Amino acid sequence: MNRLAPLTLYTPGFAHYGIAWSPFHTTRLAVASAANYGLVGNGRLHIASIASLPGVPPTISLEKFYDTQDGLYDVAWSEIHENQLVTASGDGSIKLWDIMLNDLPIRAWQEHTREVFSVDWSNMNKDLFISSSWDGTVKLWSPERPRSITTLQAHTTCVYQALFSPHEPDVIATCSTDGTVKIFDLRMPAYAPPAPGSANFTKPLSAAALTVPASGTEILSLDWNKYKRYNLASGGVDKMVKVWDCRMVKIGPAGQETAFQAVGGICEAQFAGHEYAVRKVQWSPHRPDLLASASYDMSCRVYVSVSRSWLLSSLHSSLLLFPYYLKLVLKVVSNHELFDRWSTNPTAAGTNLVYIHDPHTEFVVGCGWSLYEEGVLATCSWDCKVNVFRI
Amino acid sequence: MSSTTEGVDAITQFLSYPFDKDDAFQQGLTGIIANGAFDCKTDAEKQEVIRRSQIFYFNHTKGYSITWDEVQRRLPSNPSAVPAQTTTTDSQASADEQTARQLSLAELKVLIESGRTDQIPNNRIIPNDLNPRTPSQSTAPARKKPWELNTAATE
Repeated sequence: MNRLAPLTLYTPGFAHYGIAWSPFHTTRLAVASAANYGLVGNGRLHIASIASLPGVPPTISLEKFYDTQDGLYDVAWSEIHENQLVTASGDGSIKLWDIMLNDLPIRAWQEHTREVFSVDWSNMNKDLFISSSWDGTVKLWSPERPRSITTLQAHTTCVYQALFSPHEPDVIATCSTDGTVKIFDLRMPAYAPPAPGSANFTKPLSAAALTVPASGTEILSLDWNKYKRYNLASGGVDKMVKVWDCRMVKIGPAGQETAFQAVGGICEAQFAGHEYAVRKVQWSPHRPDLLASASYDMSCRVYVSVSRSWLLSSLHSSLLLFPYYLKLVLKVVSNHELFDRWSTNPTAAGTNLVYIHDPHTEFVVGCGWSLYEEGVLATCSWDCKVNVFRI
Repeated sequence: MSSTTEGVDAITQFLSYPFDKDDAFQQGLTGIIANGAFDCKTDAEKQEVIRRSQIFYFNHTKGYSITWDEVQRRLPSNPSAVPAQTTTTDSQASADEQTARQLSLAELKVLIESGRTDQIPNNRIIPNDLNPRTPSQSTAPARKKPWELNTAATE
């Protein structure tokens, strides 16, 4: 792919809400969108593909689209069927699509009572996916079943995102308006005892294996690190990107023995810099310490989440085999040196920042790393444009 | 904003100004483009970048204060020359025109609050049906994710 010019796909009239790369086709991606900024009107699922022929600059083009009654807020590709994907809608519906067919979905589920804001397909139990909703619940689904398998009352308010752990088949993480990130064990569907003084007996909360008080305001997005177990990133209204070490969590029978509602999580790094809320965070599928964030400040940023001593030592190691990665590490080292030389403010932020993408002219609401092409990142925005570029 | 009569005169001057022969303007525009102003832009947006640069340059060098909207109103070929709020009494033609572009949040708010939802673009009834055709058969095997290739996941 061309190194300099970003590829752009324009979808006039439809502001984006989520983007996902196909786990089967290296250069295919899906975009969930809504007309009129999701306030009123239809949704549209876009399927796009990047074509790169030898000697010709690569291009991105729309392969297909599907119109829906209400805005689409998220999309996830099936992990068992290369032509299928699932969408989350503002009217509470979840739909399964087959891109070899036109116009209509092949399945639909209507259980959530408010907007469905995220869907995620399990990479470990490849016949399962989860949805999260503003109704406070997370639901577990199989494409073959007419009803949900399990419902977690995960939070009392909006659940903006729910994601399967990449390492443990029955573990999920959620984030919410209430400022917490929670980790749940789907094998332990117990309810938490009501909080002291609480009179809310009608809607008991499911017991979380761990609750991370991640922010004083809404957490809009989270992601599991793909290489470090129980390492998560979060982003939200406080404009910060934070990295959490959650290895103290007790999963399985061990979790049941300890008291419910364990609270924890060690914030091992935090990155300031975004000027408005952080809408999406995603770890690199290729590197344990590369993290992208998208924000209402119209930018997408990439951070290297490592300490300076590690950076310096890594320069002498096998990293030299990866020129692309070395370039990023050198950039961080030089940032740190600039910091040492010029800054008198020890809290100066952004020293782990390695890339800013800012051609978007509206909120950047999604970002996604290419699964099979290292260093390629796609962003989607309320300016109705998808940009694909190499960092 | 300039007064109407002064504005019209200035806009006539602006529209006839030979920007392509003005070296100082061309040099400035080249700089703007070199700084990435054209990245990820459609042709229409590139035209807008150029037009806005021209307005800025014209105001700066001639001492006028003409605005983007004033120039747009005088461009006969521009389909969005008529602001959406004033098209409400117009016929089907203006509704089609609205569908062609994205309304601003403010324009949407006006339409929603006044109940004129029929004029909101992309607000059709979509059949709530399932596809009667047989879904495709999967033929591709699952691919390993990059983190699954390296079995030694670090702690």
